[in-house]
Amino acid sequence: MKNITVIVRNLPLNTLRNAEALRMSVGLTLKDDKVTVLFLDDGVWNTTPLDPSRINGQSSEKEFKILNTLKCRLLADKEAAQKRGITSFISKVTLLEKEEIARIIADSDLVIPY
Amino acid sequence: MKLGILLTTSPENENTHTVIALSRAARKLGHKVSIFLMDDGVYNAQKKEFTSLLESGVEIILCTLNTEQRCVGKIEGMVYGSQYDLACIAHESDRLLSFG
Repeated sequence: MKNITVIVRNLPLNTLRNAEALRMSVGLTLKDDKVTVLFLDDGVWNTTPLDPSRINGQSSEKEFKILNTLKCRLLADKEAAQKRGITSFISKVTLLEKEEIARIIADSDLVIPY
Repeated sequence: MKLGILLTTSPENENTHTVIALSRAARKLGHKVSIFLMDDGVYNAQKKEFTSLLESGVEIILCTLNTEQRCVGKIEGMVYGSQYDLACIAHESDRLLSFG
């Protein structure tokens, strides 16, 4: 079993890439590898309650639910969230200090920045 | 060694040139190369220089959902797969490179 970490760093509403990153993360579980999704920088906005349908965007709610069900870790940079005043999250997201983030990346067999 | 490559950007991005050059070099060294195209990366299937990688023994797999969303036609020799194929590449590759 491999430890795979997917890194999401983009703002949620100006690209479909984040939704694709989450869809890919769900897919990566299909070989029983351990998948972790890490939200960094502006990527932390993806973990907040949003309504992308207002701008004809794609909601990632389903992927978040599946990742939670599959017990995949959803992690966000605590400093990035605090800097942006983010206090509510749509899912079970764990906030981590930079040191813990570095440890998770170091412990990963694969790191996929998306 | 088995090298996996994930390409998610369209052909006008410099990533395409890098992936082509890297894949050719890896094949010359005798490594197995599998490329997975998803997101805008599926547009690379329409680039002649990219499809020529098939002749050097590179395996190219596309995300079928993304090709349908972007109306990318079928190219002979390429595998139209799913995210399961990417999971297999990630699981079996000795190294995985992501170009996005």
